[in-house]
Amino acid sequence: MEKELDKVVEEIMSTPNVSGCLVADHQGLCLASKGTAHVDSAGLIVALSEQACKIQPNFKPPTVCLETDTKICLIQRHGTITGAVYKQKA
Amino acid sequence: MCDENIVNERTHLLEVPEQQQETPSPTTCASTPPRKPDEQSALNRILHETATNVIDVGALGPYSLEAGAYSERVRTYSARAAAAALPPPARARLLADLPPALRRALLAAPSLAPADRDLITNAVKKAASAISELRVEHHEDLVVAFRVP
Repeated sequence: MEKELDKVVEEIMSTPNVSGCLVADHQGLCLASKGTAHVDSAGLIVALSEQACKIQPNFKPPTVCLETDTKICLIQRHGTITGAVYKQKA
Repeated sequence: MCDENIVNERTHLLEVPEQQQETPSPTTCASTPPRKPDEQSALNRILHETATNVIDVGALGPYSLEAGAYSERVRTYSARAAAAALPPPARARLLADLPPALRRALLAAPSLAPADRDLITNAVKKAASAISELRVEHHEDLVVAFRVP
């Protein structure tokens, strides 16, 4: 029953420079994870995006970007779903 | 053969004299209580043992160190503590502060490339809509009857 979600995840992974992708629900349950994204990080990612949303509660959910020298991790929420994309810096 | 000295499951826990066990009184009491003087002496023995073993903290009275003894102890303890010095706590290695110049440069630089922002926004939108289409596909019955004649 998750064929659609799998398709979306595959599409994200096929984007150039993307090394990992993770989708989680509002309680931190990992719905899909691929590549360098670890299943266990779902809870952390959801918690981060939740706290970020509290900074400006009336605005739409912000994008959290975790950066190192070579990689970035983008986290964003849409409704009850939180998604994270790991990609190499161009 | 002196069986009385061996301790087994048949040894009596209470020192009850033999006469009372051999003639159980048919009158009223189901158990044979020890005679009054024995009970009294047993109670006294227990009381005496407790009194010698118990430390009555409340009765000790106010206790304070003399000035000399106090300073002597302070010296001894600080000497021992200094001798048993702990290693310095391990420095945290996860997130380290950047030097101010690098920090300023990083914060001034554009935060997120629009392409990346679009990437994540579209990805999450598509994932959310895909999840909203999650359905259970019914293939076979869950409850089946079997061995029904």
